[in-house]
Amino acid sequence: MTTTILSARQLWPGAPPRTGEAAHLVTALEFDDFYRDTAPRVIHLVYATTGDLELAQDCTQEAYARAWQRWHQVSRAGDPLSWVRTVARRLAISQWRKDTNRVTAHRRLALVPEHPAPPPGDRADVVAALKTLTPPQREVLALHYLLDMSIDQIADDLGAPVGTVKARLHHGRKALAEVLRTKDEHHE
Amino acid sequence: MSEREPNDAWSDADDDLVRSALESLRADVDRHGPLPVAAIKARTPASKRSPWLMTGAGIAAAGLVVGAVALSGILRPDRPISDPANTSRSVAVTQSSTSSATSSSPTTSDVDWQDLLAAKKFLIPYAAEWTAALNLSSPVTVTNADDGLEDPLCAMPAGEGTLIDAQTITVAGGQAPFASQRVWAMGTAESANADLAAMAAALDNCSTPLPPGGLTADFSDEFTERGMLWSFAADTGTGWVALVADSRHISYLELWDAPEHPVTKSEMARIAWVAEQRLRQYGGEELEQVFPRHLTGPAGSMPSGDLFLDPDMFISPVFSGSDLTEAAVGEFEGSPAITQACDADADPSGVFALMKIKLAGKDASFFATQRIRKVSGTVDDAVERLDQGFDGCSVRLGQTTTKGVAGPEKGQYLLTTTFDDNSPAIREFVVVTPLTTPGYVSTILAWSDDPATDVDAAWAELARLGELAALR
Repeated sequence: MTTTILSARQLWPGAPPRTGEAAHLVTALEFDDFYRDTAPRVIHLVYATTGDLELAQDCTQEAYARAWQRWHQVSRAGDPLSWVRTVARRLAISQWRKDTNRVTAHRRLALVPEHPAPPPGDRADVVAALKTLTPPQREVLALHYLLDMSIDQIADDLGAPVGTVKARLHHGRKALAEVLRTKDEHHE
Repeated sequence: MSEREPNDAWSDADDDLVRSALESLRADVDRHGPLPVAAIKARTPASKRSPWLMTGAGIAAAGLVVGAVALSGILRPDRPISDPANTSRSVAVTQSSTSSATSSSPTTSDVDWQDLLAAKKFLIPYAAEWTAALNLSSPVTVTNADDGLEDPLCAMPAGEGTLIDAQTITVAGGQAPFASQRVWAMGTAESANADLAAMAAALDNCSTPLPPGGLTADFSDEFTERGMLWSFAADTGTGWVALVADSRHISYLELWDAPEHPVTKSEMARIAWVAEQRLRQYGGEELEQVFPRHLTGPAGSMPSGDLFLDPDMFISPVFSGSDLTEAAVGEFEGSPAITQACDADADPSGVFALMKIKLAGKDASFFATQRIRKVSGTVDDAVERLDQGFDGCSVRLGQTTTKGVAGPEKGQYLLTTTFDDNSPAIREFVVVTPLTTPGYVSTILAWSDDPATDVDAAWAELARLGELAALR
């Protein structure tokens, strides 16, 4: 489902001028629809980028909370979904790096379990396979396969050279496919 | 969709395997579902939970970094004013300050940003803030750049914005500024968002004239959640660019690094954050000082000035020749009528006011008037009365004849006044608009005696003004 952000005029065609309260209501309804329509996709994207569902949920919530704080601006700045997606992804990658460092340090002191609780069933294998990739590889794979973005579009989105994105995609998906196949063989 | 190289062994089956694996994760997402939207709205973004505390932490960290490298001054490539492409590679070097100067200069770790922000009512950061944000060991001078300000590194569309402040920043002893800052006032908050997006896109896709490699988009939410930063590397040096915005205002900062001690992303993010705070705190107040609304009307019976457009919103190619506009100071002449003929609102009683618009700094250059009237009955009735007055009117006054016709959109009218002596006709374009504030009606009139006036452009401009008025 695609989300179209309509202007107040489009939402209330031919209606008399509205009070500030009514305008605020329209804004709130726009945000509610936007959130409901898009939040699961953003969580999914961040989950695939980090392999950490809890982190994906938290960063997505944070991104939408930021969007709501300045919804008036974000909703009219072109592509609010792209804005939220980017903020959520960057928060997640930043947090993931911090957490990785923290967990690594704690592991050295034997303070935390080696592995957090895995997701159920085959998805545990997928998450484990994803974690064999580098974060930039996962990010490119998620954008390419979940958002159907081309290499050029991903390069634009990440501000990275096309060649770099291409390399991450090719190496990342090859490595992921190999790990997944290996796990399948073990299951069989 | 699959991206493949020639001779790539990657198959559709491989593609399906990876895609289905990634898509399978959606089941985990759906199993938990997103939080209710009310919880999202109630959540305070992390970046706002304790901005001063966060700033302090960032400052302390940055202070350590800067202290470690012992930043001794700022170098700034000597760019020519008119042709950056022909820039000389020579650089202006600022010698390091003495140790005593260093010890007495503020360090970011002990800066009270609230005090700095409250100390001066400026739209953009001032000297002490630049010094503190970048933790410079030498004082800087901030100079108004009314003339001779270099263009931004990359050409940016400013939309309908008006450049209302521009300054350069030079470190003590520097032969040229190492940074510049400017702020535009845009038409509305809505249009400012579109303009901001267009400016950001222009920076993202910068190709002319500097730097050759374009700008590299960066991001920092260390101080502000928008965090729009770009870094660049030209053959004459490296540096940073930032865009910040609040409501109707957009600020642009451009900074060239000291070659040996480049400004960190944290430092650039901090000065950008200061710039954003300044827009938030002083944007509205400063704008009113720059473009005050001068109203005329019956003493004690005038509506709030906030119901009127900002005077700079009347800037347009068709009526002001894109020149700056301002509200004219004048005396109330006893009538609310904004034109001699066909205006049904001639009742001098009640609550109303007029704002006359002219070219900034030029006498006898009136070209528009806005009237705000608090109606006594319903808004619809008031609009209808004005419509009956303008549409189809034909009035003979002295040696002139005025005829009115409806314009292309509802509430628009064209009044054409011809003269018996064949002087050029005057065309008055009118738009009547109910305000969002209940009980008020705006009537805007803009006129031209130039036969070459583009009528379609005039109607488009009237439509724009009417839409802006309706938002009040």
